[in-house]
Amino acid sequence: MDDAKAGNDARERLEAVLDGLEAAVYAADARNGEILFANRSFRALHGADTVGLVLHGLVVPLPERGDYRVDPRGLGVDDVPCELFDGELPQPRTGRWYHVREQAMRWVDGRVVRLGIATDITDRKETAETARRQEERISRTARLITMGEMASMLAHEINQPLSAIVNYCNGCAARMQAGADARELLPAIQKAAAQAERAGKIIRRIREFVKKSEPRRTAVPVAAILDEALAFAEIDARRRNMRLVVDIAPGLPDVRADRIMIEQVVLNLVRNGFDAMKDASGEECTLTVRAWARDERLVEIAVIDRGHGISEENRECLFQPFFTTKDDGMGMGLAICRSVVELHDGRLAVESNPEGGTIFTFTLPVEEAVRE
Amino acid sequence: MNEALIEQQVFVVDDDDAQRDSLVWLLESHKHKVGAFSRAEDFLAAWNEALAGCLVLDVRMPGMSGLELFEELCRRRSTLPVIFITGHGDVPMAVAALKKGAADFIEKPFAAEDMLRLVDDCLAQEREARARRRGKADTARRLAQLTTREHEVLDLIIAGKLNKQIADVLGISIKTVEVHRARVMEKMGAQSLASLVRRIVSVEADAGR
Repeated sequence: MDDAKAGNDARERLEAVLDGLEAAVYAADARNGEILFANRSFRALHGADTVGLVLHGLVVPLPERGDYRVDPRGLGVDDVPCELFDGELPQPRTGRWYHVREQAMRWVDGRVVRLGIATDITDRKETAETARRQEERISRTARLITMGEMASMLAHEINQPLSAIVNYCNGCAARMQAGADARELLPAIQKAAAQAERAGKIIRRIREFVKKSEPRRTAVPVAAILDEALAFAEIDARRRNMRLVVDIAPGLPDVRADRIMIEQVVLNLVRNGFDAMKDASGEECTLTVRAWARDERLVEIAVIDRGHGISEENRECLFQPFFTTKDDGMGMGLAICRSVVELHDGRLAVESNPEGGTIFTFTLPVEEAVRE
Repeated sequence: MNEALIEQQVFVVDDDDAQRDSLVWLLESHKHKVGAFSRAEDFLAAWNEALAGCLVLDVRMPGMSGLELFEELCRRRSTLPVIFITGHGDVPMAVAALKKGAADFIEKPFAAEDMLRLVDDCLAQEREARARRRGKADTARRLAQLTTREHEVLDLIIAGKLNKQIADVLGISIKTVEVHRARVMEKMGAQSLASLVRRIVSVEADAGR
């Protein structure tokens, strides 16, 4: 009598512990999958008292799916205990991921059962997935960034000799006005000349770099270019709480382009668009990228924002290097974009969006038309 | 001894040789006395609180950055105004420095007249600040020389009381008040009542802070 009570207490305590676990714990008949035990997490996961049901379509490995090295259905009492499964499985209904471990063992009534524990790893998996995807993008677009970086480095490096030259010259001018002797000025003038040469060397280095990165044009599907560039922009859009709409006409022919360069152009234009809409709200925060065939020879791509638009006077210098309206802008983006588009025998044009904002369009030659 | 004769210097701290050398040339061409350092650490080692003038500092330097040097000087209560030289993209850094009390910043490449104007402004500002500090120290020293009675008279003068009222309050004759008053003016080195009040107020405002 007392033994039975003690046994009951022990069972209750064990169940309390199992119910307290965040992981789902279950035991099922190894032969037919009937659930013999399920803790609170497992029941919550499947929305009902699962005991008595058959394990199927739940967060458990399945013999039919080939999840096991040894089919648990064929295991005898002498074969247990043994490890059955250790791996990650999705819950088909919720799409969440679980780390599942199963072991075969002898149940209290002598049957062979699968005792399993499933831990929700969706968050960890998503983080890892995002990191992996970002890594991939970064390496794939290393060349994409170099142009912008190059421009920034150029600005920084060339600033040093330039400001030195300015200082030497201005110092000389002041001393000459004060009636200084020519010999006093000589060292400063020589140093200024040396700095000018230093600047020249930097520029020569840039030119060599640019030569090395001449376009490699191949046949590319327009969608491939846009997908890649917009995957990047998508991250930006989410962070800035903006909407990105992509509208690619069906059946577009391949274009002949340096894929990475054009990706850079699209990304640049899209980011500019986002920047222009930073003060917009609601519906207006939508940026549209559209691609369609203008004729048999040209595909046209448009980046349409609903931002603050561009004034008439700014539009004139828009493509000039170092022209910028942004506080932290370099003024190189659109200048590079236009050069790249022109390398592709296209034209980068800008017009006002009748709904407010700006539309940038450029064309790419159709591959077949080029070959003819 | 006479602090007014202390020569102001423009200290230039920049790791780029050409940048530093050319700036020294420019400043010397405009009759400034210049001290140049290629590392922030070197300037810090040479720094003492008696240095007068201003500091022109490159934000970006290997080792101790310009910003770090500036923060260290603030900790040491340096009174040298600081002008930051920034490159492209350093503006947020410069703004942060301004918020912490830097005098100004200038972007590379800068126009000579902009730099020279900034330096002149800073030197003038530093000269005035030093004169103000000197004046306050002088006033404090003079105040310490007053007798208790003279202090009482001074307090009542500052409170705007007439000699007659002062005599009543202190229970002395008007003649005695006049004698004390003359001694106070003399000891404080004040030519007029207005200058006396200004001096005391400047010290008290400082003490009240």
